[in-house]
Amino acid sequence: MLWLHFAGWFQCRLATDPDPSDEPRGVSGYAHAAAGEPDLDRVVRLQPAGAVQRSHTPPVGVSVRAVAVNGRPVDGHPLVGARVDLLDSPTFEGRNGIVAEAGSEPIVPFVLEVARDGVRLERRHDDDERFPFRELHASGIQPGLSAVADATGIYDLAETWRERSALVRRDLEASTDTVERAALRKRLSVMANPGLARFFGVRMLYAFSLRGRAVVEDPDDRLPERVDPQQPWPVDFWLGGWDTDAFQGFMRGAVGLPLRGAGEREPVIERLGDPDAALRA
Amino acid sequence: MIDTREELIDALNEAAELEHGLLVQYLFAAYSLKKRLDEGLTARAQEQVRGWEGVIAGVAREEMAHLGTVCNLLSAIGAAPRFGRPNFPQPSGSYYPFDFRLTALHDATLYRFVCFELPVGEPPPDPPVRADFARAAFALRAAEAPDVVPDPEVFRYVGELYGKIREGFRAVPEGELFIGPRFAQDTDTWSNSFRLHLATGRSSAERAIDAIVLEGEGSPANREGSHYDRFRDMRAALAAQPKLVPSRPVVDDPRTRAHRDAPLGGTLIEREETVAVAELANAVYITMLLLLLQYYGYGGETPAQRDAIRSALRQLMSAVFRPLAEILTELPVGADPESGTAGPPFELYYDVRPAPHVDNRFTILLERLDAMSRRALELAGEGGPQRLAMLADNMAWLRSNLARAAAEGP
Repeated sequence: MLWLHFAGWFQCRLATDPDPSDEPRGVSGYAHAAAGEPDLDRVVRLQPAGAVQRSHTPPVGVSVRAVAVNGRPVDGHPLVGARVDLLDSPTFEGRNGIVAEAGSEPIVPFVLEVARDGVRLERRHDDDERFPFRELHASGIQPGLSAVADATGIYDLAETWRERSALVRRDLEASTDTVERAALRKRLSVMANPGLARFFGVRMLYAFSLRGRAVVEDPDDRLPERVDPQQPWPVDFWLGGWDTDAFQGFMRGAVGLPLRGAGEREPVIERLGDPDAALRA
Repeated sequence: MIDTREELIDALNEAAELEHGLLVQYLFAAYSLKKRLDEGLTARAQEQVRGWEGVIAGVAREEMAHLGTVCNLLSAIGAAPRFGRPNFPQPSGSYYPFDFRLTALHDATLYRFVCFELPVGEPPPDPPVRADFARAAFALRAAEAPDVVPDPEVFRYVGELYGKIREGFRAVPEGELFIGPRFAQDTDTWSNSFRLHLATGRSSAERAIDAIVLEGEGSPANREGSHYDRFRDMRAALAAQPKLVPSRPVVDDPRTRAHRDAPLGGTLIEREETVAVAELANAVYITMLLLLLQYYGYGGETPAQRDAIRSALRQLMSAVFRPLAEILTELPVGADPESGTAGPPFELYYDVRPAPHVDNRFTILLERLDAMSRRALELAGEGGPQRLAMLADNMAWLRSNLARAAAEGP
């Protein structure tokens, strides 16, 4: 099994209960779009495209940090540093608790992509995803401050917010734009509320297998291993370190890619369910 | 004077109607507010209007908790919960000492809201420019009635009514009064930071009443943060920006038909597609009332079933009713787009009552959810707002959750 260990900050600009899940600005919950910012959309973004990066917040981006084959770390593997993404604009599907309560929400659809230098691996959880999305649910909110702190380097979000607030206050003093000033003031009010830092030290744990449509692209034959798109790919990760000011959290986990036997030929491009794949193989 | 159980029940029923009527008027105003920049809001105004919506919705949520506490008080003295109320509009003097109307957020609306929350002894607010909303003087002839029927309730302020109820809890002997079972009362936060108060005796009943009045009016020494204070501040902020039109062109008191308890006034919605969505909103509202009646009118449901009912109610409110209400505020009431837009009519087509048997209660709820989900999908498919398709899913999934709870059985 080839294990790709990934980590990084993700963003999800979402309204929170009791606002409806598609509320665009945030009214009754604790999360609001600031003046001049685009509407909230609930999309879980692992990469900067489409993210609204607020000033003085950690950059969005999840990537492969380490690779192991059959339990042994592989230094210099071509997928170290690969971009990890979720495709098809997935959202936290809570629907005010109808699907799942806050902290247990599944990410729907779940289509994982890992890509670097022409190599691209993609796998969907299920080709026919349906309510109640049981397998995709997080197993609830777990305390995990030490794991979050180790992963993010932030041991006390309230302290980080105090430092960030000083920078935001400086921006506010320098700004003459009324919209920007309103947005900065809004951020300061969020960071002045220590109650909102309480979500930082908890994690949502996810573990399931990807069994849907798979894509393995390696046109330049960079991968030393042969990934099997037929067998399920186990994925195991946590989301935690929620920073309400940034609309960001930290993601850490791994996806396992079963390997083909040494004697099996592997197509350069293979798509599960693609009738031409068999011919190419 | 309130000095019998019956008079206390009568006054608490009046309080429940009032709280219910107030909260839907607040919600209506909150839903009327503009959200997008393409509605003529600047980015700065968008932020401000969003904040106002949050304030009004927050007050409405506290009124929901007041309604829950009043139901606890009713339960404590052996009475049934009360979720009925007359349809809108109700001019002052017919049922209440205030105009009860569904109106978009503007100065006259805020004037009415300040009047609702006006503490006894405070000077009345300056009247609005629109004279038709000015508060009419109101007085009923006070009278004493024999003990077999309750004395008529006379009050001009909400706080005044609660003062009379408080006196009633003192007048009726405590040992005789509190006959309701403790388990039938509700102190859950509803995942919404609700503060519902338990009433198990005279002192806890008085504390519950005091908490309601304090939240609405504040204390004579400090009105800050009270509903009265929040609405007064909002009115001043709106008056300071005469060019700002915060609400959509929502008509007054939209309705799908005339009602016997509100035969006059209101704006009849004529555009067929809008009528259909308004009727769906009314159906969802009535379903919420059925859930409330089932939740507060304990009929043998298991604790798990009660949890499921509470969840369903909360979810129906946030994930279905509010989106429907927001959709309506963008749908024209007539063929002419200039005729204004609708809003949630909060119409009651009949006296909503729960079935006496638990199984039947669930059967009726599941039938309603199924029908409403299918209707939402039909309306979305007929070129209607696509948000309705999401609401159809929400109702179908909510039904599935509730069916599981119903199947558990007592």
